Amino acid sequence: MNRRQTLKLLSSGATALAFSPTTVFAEEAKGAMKKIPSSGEEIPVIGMGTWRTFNVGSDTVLRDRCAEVLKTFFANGGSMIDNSPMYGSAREVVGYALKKIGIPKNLFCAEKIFTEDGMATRTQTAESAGLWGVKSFDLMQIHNLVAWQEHLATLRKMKEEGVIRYLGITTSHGRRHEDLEKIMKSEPLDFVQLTYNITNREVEERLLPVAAEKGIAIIANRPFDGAELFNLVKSKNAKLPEYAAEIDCTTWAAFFLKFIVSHPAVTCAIPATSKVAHMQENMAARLGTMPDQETRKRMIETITKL
Amino acid sequence: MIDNISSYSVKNFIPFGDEVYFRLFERHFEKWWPVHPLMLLLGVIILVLAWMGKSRALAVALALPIVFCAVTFHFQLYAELTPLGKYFGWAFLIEAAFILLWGFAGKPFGKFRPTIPAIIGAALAVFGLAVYPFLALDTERKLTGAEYLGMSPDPTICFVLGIFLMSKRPLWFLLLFPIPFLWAAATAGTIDALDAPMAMTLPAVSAVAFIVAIAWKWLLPRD
Repeated sequence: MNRRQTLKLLSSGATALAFSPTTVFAEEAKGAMKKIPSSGEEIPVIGMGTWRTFNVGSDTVLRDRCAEVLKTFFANGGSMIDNSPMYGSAREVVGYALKKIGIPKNLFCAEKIFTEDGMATRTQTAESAGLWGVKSFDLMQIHNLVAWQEHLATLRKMKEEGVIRYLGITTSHGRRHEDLEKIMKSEPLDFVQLTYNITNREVEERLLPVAAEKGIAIIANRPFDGAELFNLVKSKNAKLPEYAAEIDCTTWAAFFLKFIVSHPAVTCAIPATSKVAHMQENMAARLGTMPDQETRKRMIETITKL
Repeated sequence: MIDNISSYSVKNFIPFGDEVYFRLFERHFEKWWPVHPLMLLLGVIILVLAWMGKSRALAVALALPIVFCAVTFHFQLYAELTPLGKYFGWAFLIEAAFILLWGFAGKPFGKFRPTIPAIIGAALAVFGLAVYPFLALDTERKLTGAEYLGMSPDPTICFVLGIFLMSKRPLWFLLLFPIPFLWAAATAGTIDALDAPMAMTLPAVSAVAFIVAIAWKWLLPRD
């Protein structure tokens, strides 16, 4: 499939050709899964971010609550946890929580390299693994394109050696998209993480089509735009539209998340929360009917009109 | 590591939520009570020393809550959440060293004279000492999660700025201001990013202290 065909496919709504519900989403009872293009491995469409929410330091009360959140995540079919050395104590707290609840077999560890020292890729990976309490990572990403040439070269070797299974690169808040696009086109990547949500859809223009064309899995960060989406609907006292029931949305969280993961090029979204109830709401977005192209347009209209 | 700086907001640099931040004060209280009333007593002693004009004893007494705050709050708690904790821990220690130098190298305090800067300074010091803890009640925090002199940075800085204004103010005493002002900016940015109330309290105190210090220097007769 060339770029023009991909763009046409993504914009036409004929997503069933490449991303039919039967191939994109596994059994509904288990919740939606999507394939990592480079391997065919399936992962749940809702993962878990840790920015802000898991940076609780040595506070045992909040650490225990994080463990409960993580337990709820796995109990509801969760798999991918995303973390970074930039997130304060979040790596250590994830390690604490995993130790407390036990490491489930389906854990998918996604970490990042965040250092300008291009020679520190392996050192920081080992440090992170120690803090998580795991032997290795499934996915290692280069955070915000920092020293990406050096880190990518090392990550490639680490992948060949079997130290990591996938490699990727991240950005957020819509930054450095031109650079990211160049990297996506020129370097073999398994994953790209970027900001995508119902009010930040810039990546639909170029990056998501490139990802589809190049077979790169997409992780969507900031799915609620840093809680701004909830603030928006709350400030407008907005109720879920009637059609939300048709796509099995009973909460705004599910509404926002289903919009993201129903994009054919998006593999998963990684909402972050420190509350068990919110985790349950987030994970419910994996269940039931996903919006089709027409419904996605209605969802955008609903939010735009607020 | 930061590109397109204009695309960032302060919130992007605050890697924790409001509950985590405000629980720092509760956890600090649990660990260090009953040092709090001792710090309150120390604050009163510092005010008395300022009134009596005991420069050296005051400098030592004033450095104590700053050092205690640097070690037990910044280094031991705040640094777990953000590198800012470590940086401000060192900054507070440097400020304490400046204060010792200020107290021992010169003689910044004479017999108390009720000049306008001195009265405003005393008011700010009392505000930091006795009023700041009760501000927590307005944010639905308990007094066990409140902020006290020597235990938390904001009231400590407020108190210190007040004491500065009570001194004779040679020009170089303005060198004591940058670190408190940096913290005032940092705490305002943090509290605002956490969508918590009263983010501008310490910057307002700092602005008053700075304006009074400058006004005294050029607009009012010297001691």
